[in-house]
Amino acid sequence: MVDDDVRLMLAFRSGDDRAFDALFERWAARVLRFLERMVSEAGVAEDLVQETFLRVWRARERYEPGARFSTWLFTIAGNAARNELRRPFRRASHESLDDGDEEGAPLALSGEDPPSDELVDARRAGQGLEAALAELPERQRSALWLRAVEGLSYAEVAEALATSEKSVKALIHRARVTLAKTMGGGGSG
Amino acid sequence: MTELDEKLCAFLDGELGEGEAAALRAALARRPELAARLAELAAVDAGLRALPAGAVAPDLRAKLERRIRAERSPGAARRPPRSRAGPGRRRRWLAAAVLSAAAAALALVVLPRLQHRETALANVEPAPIVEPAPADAAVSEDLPVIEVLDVLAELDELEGVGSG
Repeated sequence: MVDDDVRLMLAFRSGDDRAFDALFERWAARVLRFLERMVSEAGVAEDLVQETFLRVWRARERYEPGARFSTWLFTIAGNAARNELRRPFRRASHESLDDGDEEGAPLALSGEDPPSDELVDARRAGQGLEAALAELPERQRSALWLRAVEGLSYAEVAEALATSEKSVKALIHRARVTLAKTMGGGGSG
Repeated sequence: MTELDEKLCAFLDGELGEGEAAALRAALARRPELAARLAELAAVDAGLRALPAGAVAPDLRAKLERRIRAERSPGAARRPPRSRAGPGRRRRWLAAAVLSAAAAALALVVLPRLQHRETALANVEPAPIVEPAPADAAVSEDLPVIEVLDVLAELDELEGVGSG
C-alpha cells in the first residue's frame, strides 16, 4: 500500500508541481521542528528546511518509493543538519542565509500575557528538557527525536542514520535515560 | 538496571517481541518500581512532543521557490567560465608587446647604420684614436633609449669624419 506522501512524490516526479506544494505544506513544519532541535538555531533551521526541500526537488527524477516518505525526508533533513554541524565556522545564531530580524533568535518559548504558575513550571521544565536535549550527542538526539516525536520505527531510524537497528536501540536508550535524569527521574541509568 | 532500562525503552517503542512484551507486562503488574521507571522514561517522550515548535515563516515557500527558479534557469547551470586574462595580466601582455615593438624598431634603425659605418670606415684614413666607448654604451637589449640615441649621435659624428 502506497502512503499519500509517496503518491504525492510520485506525482511530483511525473511533473505535477502542485504535489510538491502539497508535500511542503504537509511536512515543512515538522521538518523545521526536527531541524530546530538538531542545530538549536531557529534561523539556521529555517535555512535547512529550504535546503531539505531543495534536495527533494533535485532528487525528484531519481525518487523510488522504497520506504515511507517521512523516512526519506528525515534522512535528507538529518544529512543537511549534519553538514551544517560539521562546518568549521558555523554561522552565529543571528546570521541567516536569508535576511530577517527575528529568524536567527535562539529558540525560546514565546512570551505571552501573565502566565499561570503551572504554565511557568511547564515552561521551566520544557526549557530544561530543551537544554538537555541540545547537550546530547547528535546521533542520540536525532534517533530519539525521530522515534519519540516522529514515530519512526527502529528500522526506519536506522535507515535515516545509516546504522544498524541494534545501534539505534542503544542510542535511544542512552538518550532517554539521560533526559529522564534531567527531568528528575534519576533511575539507575 | 541498564539492561532493564533498555528493555523498557524497547517496550515503550513497541519493539519487543510478543513473548518478551507479555513477560514484561506481567512484571510491571507485579513491581510498582518498574512501572514507575517506565513512566519516567515515557515522560521524556511526552516532554519532547510538548516542546514548542517555531512556526514556518509565511515567506519560506517563496524563498524556496526563488532558489528552485535559480536552479531551473539555464544561466545558473552554465555560468560562463571566468576569463583568466584579468586586468593585470592584460597590462603585462601590453607592456611586453610595446617593448618587443620598440626593440624591433631600434634594430631596424641601428643595424643599417652599423653596416653603413663599417663601409664608411673602410674608405677613410685611419681615424684618430678614439677613446673606446664605455662598455655600457654598447647596444644591447637592455640599453635604455637615451643611451641608444647617444650611440647614434656618435655614429653620425664618425660619418661626418669619414666623409670630410
